[in-house]
Amino acid sequence: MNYLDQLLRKQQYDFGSDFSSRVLNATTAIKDRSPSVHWFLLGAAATIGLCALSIYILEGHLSIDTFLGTDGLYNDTLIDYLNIQ
Amino acid sequence: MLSVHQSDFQLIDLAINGDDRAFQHIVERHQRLVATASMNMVGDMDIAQEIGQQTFIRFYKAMHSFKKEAKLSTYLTRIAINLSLNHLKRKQTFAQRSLDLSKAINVKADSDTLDNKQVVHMALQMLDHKHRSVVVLRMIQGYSTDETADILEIPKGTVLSRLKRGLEKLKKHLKEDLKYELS
Repeated sequence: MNYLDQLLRKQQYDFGSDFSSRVLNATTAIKDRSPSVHWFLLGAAATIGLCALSIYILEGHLSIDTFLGTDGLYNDTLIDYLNIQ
Repeated sequence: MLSVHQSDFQLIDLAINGDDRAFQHIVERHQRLVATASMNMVGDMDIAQEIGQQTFIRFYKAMHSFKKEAKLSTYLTRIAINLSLNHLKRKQTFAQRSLDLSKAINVKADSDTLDNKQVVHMALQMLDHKHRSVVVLRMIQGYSTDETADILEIPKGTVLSRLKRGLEKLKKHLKEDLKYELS
């Protein structure tokens, strides 16, 4: 190894002991800024709850049919069938 | 429980699962490598620290998709070198470069107290980016020609020719511009 190679090998640097803590603080800040999955799930649950409540107020009762809006569909279909008969 | 014997991949798995101490351990293990790459490329410790921080933040964001067939050290070096090159392209206008060069020469002319490391550092900063990056990776960081080609995304032949030319220029700057005797 020649002298220049030896000199070049010595060009090593370091950021200091507090560098990793600063990086960790920066990544924690990123984490805090991004909403977690928990909040998305909570939002979805609240939306479904509000939907159910408004259906209950409008229809007077709550079932899968009222929730999906298919309760009237069966009756209409049945009436149409009877009329045809 | 963290230990110094844990591999980078084990630490990455822990960090992905929310273990901040594992991520800090990754930073501590590789910060010297990133510091050497960025400091030798940009020549200023404040900017190098900024680049170092950005390097680890980028890795943190991409950690979930990190392919474990790659070496983490090579991956981090690639980010640090790319960020350094972007910084140099953005900031280093021809006028600034000339100013820095003359400033470096004047510093040397005024002082004989600079140690070898400082003189070599000055000479490195006089190299253009493409030669400097190859000299830094091959001669300072000890990467192989293949690894250097992979990091810089250039052919192996280009690495070899840039290294030869870069070292010639470096010797010339040391001897002629900085009046440094390579004994």
